[in-house]
Amino acid sequence: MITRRLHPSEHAWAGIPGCAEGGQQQVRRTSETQTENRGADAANLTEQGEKLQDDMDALIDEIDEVLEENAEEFVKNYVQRGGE
Amino acid sequence: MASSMIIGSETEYGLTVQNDPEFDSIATALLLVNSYNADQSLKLLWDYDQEDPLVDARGFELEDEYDIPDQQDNMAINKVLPNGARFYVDHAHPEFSTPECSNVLDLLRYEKAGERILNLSRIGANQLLPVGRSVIIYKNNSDQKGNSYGYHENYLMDRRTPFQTIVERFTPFLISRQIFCGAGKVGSENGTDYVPYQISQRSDFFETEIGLDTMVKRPIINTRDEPHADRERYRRLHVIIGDANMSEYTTYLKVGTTMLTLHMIEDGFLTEDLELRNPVRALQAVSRDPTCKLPVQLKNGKQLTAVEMQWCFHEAAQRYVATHPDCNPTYPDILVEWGAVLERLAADPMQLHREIDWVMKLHLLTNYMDRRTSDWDDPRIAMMDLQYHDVRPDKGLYHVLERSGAARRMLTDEDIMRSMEEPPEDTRAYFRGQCLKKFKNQIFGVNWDSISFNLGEGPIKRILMEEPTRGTKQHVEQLLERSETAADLVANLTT
Repeated sequence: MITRRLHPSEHAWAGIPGCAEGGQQQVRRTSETQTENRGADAANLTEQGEKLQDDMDALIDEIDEVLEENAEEFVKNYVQRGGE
Repeated sequence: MASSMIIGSETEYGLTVQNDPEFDSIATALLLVNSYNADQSLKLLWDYDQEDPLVDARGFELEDEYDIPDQQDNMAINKVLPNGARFYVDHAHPEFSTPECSNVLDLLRYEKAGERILNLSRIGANQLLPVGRSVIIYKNNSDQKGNSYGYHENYLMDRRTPFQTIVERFTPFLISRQIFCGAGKVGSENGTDYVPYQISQRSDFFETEIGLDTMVKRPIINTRDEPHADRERYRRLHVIIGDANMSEYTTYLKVGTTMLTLHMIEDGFLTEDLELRNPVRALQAVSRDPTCKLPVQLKNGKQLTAVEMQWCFHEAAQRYVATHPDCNPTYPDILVEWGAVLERLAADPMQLHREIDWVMKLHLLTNYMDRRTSDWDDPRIAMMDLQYHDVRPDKGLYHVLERSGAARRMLTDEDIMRSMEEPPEDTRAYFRGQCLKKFKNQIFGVNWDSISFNLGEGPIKRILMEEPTRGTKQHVEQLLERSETAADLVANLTT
């Protein structure tokens, strides 16, 4: 299930329109399908939106596969000396 | 009037060894540097005689001691590669410096070649580690615990440009360029206020406006004055404030717009007053506003957003390119991409989720959180923040995005592979790289602006290369062809 997370404590964040799926559809509409016939748009958009969601689902599954195990321990142990 | 500008970047990589409770960063960095092409590796010195890192562009010279390693150490920590790059240990990190480049596309392909060279070193190093241990390398700038390591850009400028002019004109550019240069970071560090996510990895670490330091009290404008070239003609502007980027497009835009802006400053073309009331505060405020809508205060009382400030630079650049037909041939395209990105940043930054690192990362993290019902404090989110920068093609999350077509490319894999071996053809890096290929057993030492040869008898012969636009393929190809040995080369150069 997909939930929409908000960041009420961070006012700057309220301005970000759709970080997740909604945002993607919006991108398509503004940058790539601008010149298309508006009548055919709605159906296309639904189809494209579903395709994008499927792609993103697959991508997130792949991230889970490659992500280091024991993330908490791993991140805690990553300590560098300053450089430059 | 400026016509060319030599540029380069230096990337310090973060590293760790899996399953090694006594991980030693210096030993691991040494192992890495000596594991790249180990069987063909050259035994030569990095020539510190030409280096002067404690000289300050404002005219001071510090008296701190600067350690020059002895010969054995020198050979172990420095490698000069046939593509003209330097791969070495700097403090506790492996560092890759690109060869000198004449344009942003060359710089980009050498920087990306550097990532692959680091990955090959990693594979070589792993063969020497006990079973179960392996090196992991990150091209990022922070360990999320208050320790930062650098990514430095270098722009060789005309020394006649007054340093104060650079400080005034360039500072507002650096602060506002974050919106399309940031690599993105979960959380905040170095005693700054909490945010869940911010645009830049580095901004938390900058505390002053101008200075010589790079490791403490980091300045927005670094004053190191070490041109590695004719000191009378050139100043190497050492830009230490940038993030190391994974996205080819982000690096292209970062370095391309910066080079173009510095060319305008050099030519006295930037006249609009964009000086900020409090540059350090503005730097952090811009980094903490992923909507890119927050106005910052200028000295003259005006308030502008980072996007609006960038439009001022872009507008000047449009006039500059239109009136300078002999400008760098990459500039017209940079101008187009720059404008397109500013339009999208103004409309909705999330539209840049294939182009700009901080947006790509944020897009990935928010989609992950939505599908896994997690939040910013989930350790997997901090892990993803780190692993985005992993140089391993199978594990790095940027690489996962790139493979799935979710990252906009500027290069082909062939461009990058070729750049691991071949030097650029239109700077002195060509001469350095070809000498390393042809006379490798007779080279005694190398620096950016010299090569010295051991001819077996007599003193070491050092060839100075103070002019980085010479030593190009056009200049020296024939000379190299008719020199069978290093002795021939030296003789041909001196007769």
